[in-house]
Amino acid sequence: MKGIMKNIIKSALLLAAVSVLFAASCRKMDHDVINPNILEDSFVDTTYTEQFRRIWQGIDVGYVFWESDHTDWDSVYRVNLPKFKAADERVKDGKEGMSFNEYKSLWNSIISPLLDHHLNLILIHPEVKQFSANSIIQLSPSSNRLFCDDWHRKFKKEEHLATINNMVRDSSVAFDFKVFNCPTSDDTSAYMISGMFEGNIAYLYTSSFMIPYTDTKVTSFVNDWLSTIIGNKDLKGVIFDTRNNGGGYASWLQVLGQYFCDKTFSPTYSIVKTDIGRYDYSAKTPIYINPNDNGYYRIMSDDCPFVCLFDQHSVSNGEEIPWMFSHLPGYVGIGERTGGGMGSLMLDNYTSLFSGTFGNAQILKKQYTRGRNVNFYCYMSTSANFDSKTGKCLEGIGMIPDIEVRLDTAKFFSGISDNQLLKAVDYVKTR
Amino acid sequence: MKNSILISLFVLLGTLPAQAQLQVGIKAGYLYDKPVVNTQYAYTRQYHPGSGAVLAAPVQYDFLEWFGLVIEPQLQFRQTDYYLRDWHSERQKNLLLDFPILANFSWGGEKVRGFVNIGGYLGGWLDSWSSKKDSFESSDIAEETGKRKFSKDDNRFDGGLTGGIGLRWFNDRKVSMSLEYRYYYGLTSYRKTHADGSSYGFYNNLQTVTLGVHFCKLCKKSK
Repeated sequence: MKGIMKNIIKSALLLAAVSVLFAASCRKMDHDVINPNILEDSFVDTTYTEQFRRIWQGIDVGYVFWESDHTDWDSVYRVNLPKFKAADERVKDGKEGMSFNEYKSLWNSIISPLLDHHLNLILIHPEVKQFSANSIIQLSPSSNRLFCDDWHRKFKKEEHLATINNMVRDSSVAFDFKVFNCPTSDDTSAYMISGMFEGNIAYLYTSSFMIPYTDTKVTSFVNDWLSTIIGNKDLKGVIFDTRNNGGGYASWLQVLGQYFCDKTFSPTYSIVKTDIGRYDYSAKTPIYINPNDNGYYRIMSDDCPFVCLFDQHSVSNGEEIPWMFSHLPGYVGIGERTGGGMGSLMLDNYTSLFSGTFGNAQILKKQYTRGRNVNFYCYMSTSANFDSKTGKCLEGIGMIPDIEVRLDTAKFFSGISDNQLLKAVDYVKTR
Repeated sequence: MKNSILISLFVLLGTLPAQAQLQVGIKAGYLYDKPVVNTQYAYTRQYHPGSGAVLAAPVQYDFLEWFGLVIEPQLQFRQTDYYLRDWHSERQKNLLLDFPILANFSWGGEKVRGFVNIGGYLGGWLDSWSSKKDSFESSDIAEETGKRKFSKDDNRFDGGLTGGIGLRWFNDRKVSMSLEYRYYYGLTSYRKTHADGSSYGFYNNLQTVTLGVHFCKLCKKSK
């Protein structure tokens, strides 16, 4: 009996020791999550599979909307990886891996379901031998919605000003206005228009919020506009126009909002990523708008309304600022549903925030050397914004106007009239 | 080989009724959770250990005076802290139900006995809470405390290896008290592996110190 017992104990101990050694090696602590930004200057094998894996992983780790977005990203990987692998196999056999259109369509199907309306994926076909501007494919989930939804192109500054000038000239509208060509912190040109319509209706147009709000000329222009509103007893209303405005600095929320509120309010709360897991988020951080310190503000009302004019090309701050004004008295939204890119975006912060833009920004500058640079650039939101009251994610929804007015493109682009602006003026006049 | 082990076990069980003892008890104590996370490229992520508590109901069956099996259903309240640079801190509190099964070896006299045990555990992640503090790009501190909703990325299955060492005092053969140190080596990550095989491993190394009371109804009182 003693012998049997000894054998059992020995066997049990041996089994336990082997199990411990085996199990100890079971922890998966591999170093396979790569910061896509670090690849920017490394040598990269530009295969279909490699490109797909890196973009998939960059979005997997850095996408800030997983909590609200129901796309099964793991399934996207499992379904599409074989397609890219097959393309690489065909290349190995000396054939074309995937035609330009097939490739574009496949990537479009991958990113289309995503909620992030800032997302812009810029790709170079892996088989491109000679890089040119035509080698670039640019895809965005938001453009799919826009193109299906009575899409019209963006207007140019010259077209915009020509239409206003023509309307004034043929007396469609009495409008005393001035144009300010603004400095911007990026390469784009921006302009503001301020003025007063007949009947004491103050107007401000901004083509961008990339305008530095601390610039003295900008401050002076905005203050001049505010002086026509605050303290103006005959004021009938305000039209604040962010059509064609692709957004910019979030600080513009406070810069403008302070003059139209008498107490602190929070239209939005935001979250950012805090770790590389899909669902690792910061605390909900309210974005507060405080009234002007010197008591220099005007509270609007239904009788003296604050009309926000926006269109499908109003994106990011171009819709966030109307969203903020929609929480204040007298607000009315006129125009088209906005782009829906309500998240915020900061560049070059992937390492610290585990979210946002990654890849090779040089592609945008048309600088790319095959085999030396990553052949993609993915522009994504860094933070997700939510309605403070309902907790609903604002991404992909955009501002929905109270009074929908589609742009009469035939008249606008031929410089005859701006039906959206005329509707806004008419709304205020008929209050 | 398999058959001979099984036969041996039956023979052993059949010949040891006089020495076999079934004991039940209750144990409670301190838990120390040290998270093991591969911070990968993101070296600014800092995971810190936290204190917790454990409440267990051990059932021990001694085949011999010096050898027995322990099944110990237990509730573990674990806490860990996470810091990201100087703007984010987060305390995560987790409640788990685990079932360690251990082989227990003891030695010593009638009054005081030492013991060591080794085995494994399986269980599940029952509930989770978190309190977050953020001051990102703002002088205002945003705080959020509450129940944490489990996500698709959470792996709620828990398992690993465990082993302990301790002392047991016998008041008589029917009632005894124990003091035990135990180590738990987690083999399951709180986070699931993604489709591309990327592992966001979040493992736990636990240490517990418990005090327990054990009862043996059928045991004869010591003289």
